[in-house]
Amino acid sequence: MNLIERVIAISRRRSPWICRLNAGSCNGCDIEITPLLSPRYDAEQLGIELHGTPKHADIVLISGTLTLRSRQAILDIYDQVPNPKAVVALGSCPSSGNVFAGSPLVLSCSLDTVVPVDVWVPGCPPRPQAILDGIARAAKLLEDGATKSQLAKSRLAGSQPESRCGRPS
Amino acid sequence: MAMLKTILGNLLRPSRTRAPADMPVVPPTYRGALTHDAGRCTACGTCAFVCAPKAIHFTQDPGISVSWHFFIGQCSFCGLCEQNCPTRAIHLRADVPGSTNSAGGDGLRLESVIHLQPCTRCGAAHVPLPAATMDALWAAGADEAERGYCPDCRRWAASARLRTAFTPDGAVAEGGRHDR
Amino acid sequence: MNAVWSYLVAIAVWPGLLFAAPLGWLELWFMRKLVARLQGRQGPPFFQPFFDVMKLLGKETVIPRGVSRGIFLALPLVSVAAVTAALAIVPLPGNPVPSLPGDVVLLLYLMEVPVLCEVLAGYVSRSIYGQVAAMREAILSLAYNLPFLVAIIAMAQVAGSFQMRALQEVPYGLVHLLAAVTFLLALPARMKLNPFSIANAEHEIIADSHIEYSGPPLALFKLSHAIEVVLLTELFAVVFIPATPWPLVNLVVYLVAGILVLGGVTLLATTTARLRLTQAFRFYWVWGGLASAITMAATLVR
Ligand code: SF4
Ligand code: SF4
Ligand code: SF4
Repeated sequence: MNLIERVIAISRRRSPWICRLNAGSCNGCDIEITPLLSPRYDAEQLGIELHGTPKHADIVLISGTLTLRSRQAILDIYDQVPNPKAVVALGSCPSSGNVFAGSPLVLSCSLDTVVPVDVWVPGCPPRPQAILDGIARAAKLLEDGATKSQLAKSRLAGSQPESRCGRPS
Repeated sequence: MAMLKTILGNLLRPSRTRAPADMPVVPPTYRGALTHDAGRCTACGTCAFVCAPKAIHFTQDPGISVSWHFFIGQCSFCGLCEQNCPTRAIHLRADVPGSTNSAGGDGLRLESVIHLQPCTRCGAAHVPLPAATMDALWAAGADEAERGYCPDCRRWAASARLRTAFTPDGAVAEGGRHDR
Repeated sequence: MNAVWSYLVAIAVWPGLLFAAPLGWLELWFMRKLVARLQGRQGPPFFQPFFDVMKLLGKETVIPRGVSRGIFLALPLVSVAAVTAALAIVPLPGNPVPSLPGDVVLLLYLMEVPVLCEVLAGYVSRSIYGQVAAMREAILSLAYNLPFLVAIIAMAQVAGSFQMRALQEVPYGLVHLLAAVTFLLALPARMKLNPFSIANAEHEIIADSHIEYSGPPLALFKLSHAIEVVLLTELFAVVFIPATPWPLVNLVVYLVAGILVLGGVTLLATTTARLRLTQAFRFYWVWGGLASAITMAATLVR
């Protein structure tokens, strides 16, 4: 690996910009992102910046249950994030549907069936330090070129998951 | 001006930021990930019944074991299972569950196996009572042999004792086995 | 041949890209760190702006469908080129470029180009947020350019010449002070800082006008912004701070003055909340206009 690639790889870890995506969350997880910007946790000490647009993001934080409506939105927004990118799933909702599993219009399945998720942060909602840890872990994956989308690209395979959840077949 | 005073005060004081390795400690009442003590569990199923998101379920290996499964990705950390567990086998740890890189396994799922034991009287496989419960039940020095009984045999033994109390001549047929 | 070389050196090395980019990153880091410390936070590490740009250079560029590829990619390049060329005109000590008559006009023109690029970037992005940002930027530039231009023109009026060196050599007087205040009025809006951060209102319209940009073009816009910060602070220092006969002392004084000005604007940005577009517009046309009128009057009485 030459010097420039090395510097860029380190920069990926040192400057993860995040974009928040609410897939149908109760807002608990989103509220817990706000303390990250507060003096106590200060995400900026790790170079993290919160951006509103997916075009500027490296890491997408997805919170909340997947719903029939939000599924397509997640796919669209995920596609807009420029490579290399990582996905962090916040809380219990994306991994299973949590208490909402089984409700009408809620896809009671894992977010992994929609977009490739790199880091799962457990909690309902997770504590801010757990979210910070999750972002740091995803940033480390970005540096190592080990996020699922990066691996899929290097293998020249599509990053689409095999099983499609909630898609009318 | 009050604003100016605040921010200049901030500038003079050291920052309140904690480094990632030095995060604030969680309160002792914090409800983190579950731990399960197979030695205390009676596999009564109360925890699975009270869990709203169905984070707990059981699988059986008939005659050998019962497994208690927990998926942290479905838990809402309400603590109802801990509250309702009659033997205090479940405990919600007071620390932050760490993030994981993989969805399915490692760290997100917990499995704890409760081995069945054959009844010392009839041989039926059953979930043994937790040791603490047994000590409490048979501390009075009652029939030590009853410790290894299955619930049905315990019931039979209790009724046998009752009958001996009412029929002092002690004519209890030893062969009376319960129906299975 | 010699003149061409001196222009190349001025644009590429001193005081151009090679000097301005690190200094711009340093100043951006200083601003972010100061904001963080004023809020009681720890703030970003020292190399943060550098890491941001390097990371963006390593990312993919997503071009929205239906956007003209050429203009989309050309805008950030034009923006960086214009600010660098503008900085090359500023007579910092040791600047190899000869001062030409009328270079103030060229400087003012070049300084408008990045703003124009931002407006165009918003409009070509086909994003409704980008278009709102572009509209706000365009309207705001009508407002803040009044005091900004008047401050420079008043100095030219006193100097009797539209030449940077002449501006620098004006004997120090009342006009300097008044024009400096007028210039400082316009500075927060030019730097898109808080009470006037209307065009890059991240909570209302998600991002600034480069909302649809990603990867290297966005990195170029960030670089352009960093150089613009250097340009504005150094322009202020060069025009309004009295020069000493020793170039090295001058340089140190200019750099320190630039940092001080930044500190002041950052303090203002931290203590204030964002104004509405109409309020900012009214502020600049009433108070900025008043300051401009007083400054122009002062050039007449002398
Ligand atoms: S995980 Fe819990 S807090 Fe987060 S969105 Fe789901 S229900 Fe709300
Ligand atoms: S804490 Fe609540 S949600 Fe979690 S397993 Fe126990 S009962 Fe279920
Ligand atoms: S953990 Fe407690 S509540 Fe759950 S089955 Fe075991 S004993 Fe019953």
